[in-house]
Amino acid sequence: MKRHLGTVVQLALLGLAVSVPAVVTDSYYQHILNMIFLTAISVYGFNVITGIAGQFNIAHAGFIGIGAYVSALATTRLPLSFWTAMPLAILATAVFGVVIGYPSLRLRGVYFALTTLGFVEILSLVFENWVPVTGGAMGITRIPPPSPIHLPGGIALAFEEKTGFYYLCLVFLLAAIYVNRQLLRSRLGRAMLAVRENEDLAQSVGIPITRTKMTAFVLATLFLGLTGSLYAHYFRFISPVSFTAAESFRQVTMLIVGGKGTLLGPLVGAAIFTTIPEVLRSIEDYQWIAYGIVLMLCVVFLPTGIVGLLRDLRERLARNSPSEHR
Amino acid sequence: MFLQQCLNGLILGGAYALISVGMTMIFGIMNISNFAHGTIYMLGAYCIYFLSTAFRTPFLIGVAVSMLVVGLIGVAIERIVFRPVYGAPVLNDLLIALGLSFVLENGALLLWGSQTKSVRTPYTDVVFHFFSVSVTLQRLIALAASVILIAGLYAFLNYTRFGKAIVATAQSPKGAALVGIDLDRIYMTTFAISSGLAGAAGALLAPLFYVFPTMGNMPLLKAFVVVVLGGMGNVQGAVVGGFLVGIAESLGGAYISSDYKNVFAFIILIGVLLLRPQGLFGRSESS
Repeated sequence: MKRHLGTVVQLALLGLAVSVPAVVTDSYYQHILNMIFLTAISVYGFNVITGIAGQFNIAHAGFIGIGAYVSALATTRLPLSFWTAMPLAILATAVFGVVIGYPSLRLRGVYFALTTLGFVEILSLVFENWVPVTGGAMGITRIPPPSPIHLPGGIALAFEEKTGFYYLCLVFLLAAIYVNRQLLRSRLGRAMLAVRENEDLAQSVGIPITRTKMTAFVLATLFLGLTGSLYAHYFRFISPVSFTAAESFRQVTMLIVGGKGTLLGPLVGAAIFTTIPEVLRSIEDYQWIAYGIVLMLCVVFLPTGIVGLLRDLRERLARNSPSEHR
Repeated sequence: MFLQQCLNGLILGGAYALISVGMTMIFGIMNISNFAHGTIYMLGAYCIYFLSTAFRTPFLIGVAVSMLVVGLIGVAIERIVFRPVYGAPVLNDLLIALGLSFVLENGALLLWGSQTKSVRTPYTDVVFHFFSVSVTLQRLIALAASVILIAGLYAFLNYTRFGKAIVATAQSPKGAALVGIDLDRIYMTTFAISSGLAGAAGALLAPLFYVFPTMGNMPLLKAFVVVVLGGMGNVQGAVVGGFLVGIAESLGGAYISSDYKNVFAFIILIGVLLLRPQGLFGRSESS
């Protein structure tokens, strides 16, 4: 019965998500929704490497940048469409992931974080200074939107409008959630959690540490290449400032506050931190101070974030109510 | 040209060393990598800016007061922010320091705004020339003060009872606790010294560069490079590393490419992490 209930809720949510553009017609609100989904996809990537496997990848935003630049270059300099450029961007990002991850993941905790910090700084400088290719600080402009898909029967799916992009992001967001769910339920995902909690102990029960971290890292880069590509073709303009360590820090805040290692934490975090600055324009000046305080409080008091807190509350309620058959 | 760049590198290196020794001490003793260390350096610069504009405090007295004030802020930070994450997984202390740096950086932005400030002293106008090198008195003071402060720290750690207790705690916290060293006081003092030195570096460099809320970011990254290069937790290593990175950056910027000036430090970082993660002077990591 409970399982059926879960399926019903999921289908209802899906129905809601699909019908949103029919209700929300204002392009500003549609833009916010698109930003939430787009950001959430990469925060799901962050969840894999940092939330589940516990390795703080500060190069996160740099990888999104690689995806964005590869996709943008492939469509502006080469005669490729978005649909070829996107897989290419994901592939390129993953290759960078292997090249950077292989040596740096042999290092532990803070050493890994520092190596990725070094990489993201180098990437930022390359984006900014390799002018003939990246356009320098001016970035790349006039990136084409995804070309329309022509289905049999004369139906065309177009992505130039915000609505089309909404569905595109929705599909990839659902894929991201699905991958996270399967991972959390798998042996590999549990191995990653073990590595996060205690590396020595994990090793002592036979978990191959470096290989587990490497899998998490490269898996995460796939999400990031995808986000970068979507980002480039949604805004049709990219510049180096979007892909700095500060963006990694903003997204890790989303992850921690939403709930690291949880299934819905990344979406909740992305929704909160994308919406609040829009709604509360008046507190813009205090925004980052508030982020900092919330981040510190969550690290100490809410290790699994808002989603974890709600889960605990629900479990406590279920335990206390006598009518519930368990 | 070469001598000039070496001298510039030394001056920069002195400041890097001052920032890094504190960071490496915090790592060695509390096993915390303080991502907020750059914002603490920034506080030192704003402190002297405030003193010199509001009270017209003479520069050297201003540096001393800034060092004291930022040291006290360090004590408050240790008590309130870092205490809850001792012994927690690495991710937690990275994140909590990150949160702290958001608060401090944007606090400064609120208080003083985003426009750059400059600190004026009479020493910037006094220029010395010898051989082909020219240098302002201000820069020489920065270098001399860095050297004196580092020497003072060295003497404190090696020749005073309390300093030796800090070194002992770095080597073995359990052993130190067993022989009756009060770890609480050690942690607090370490944070005070570490923050005070970063504050002094901020105050010393304020007249050479501009003062603005994000000014601590690059020095923070450089300090990480220095700390890793010297071996995390190794104070002498951080001093030598600070000067090495300062000189490498100066020469690299002059002879190779000034656009990529900041890359050299990170290439050093990644190279060291991959080839010799324990640092140039560190012992091999056993656990």
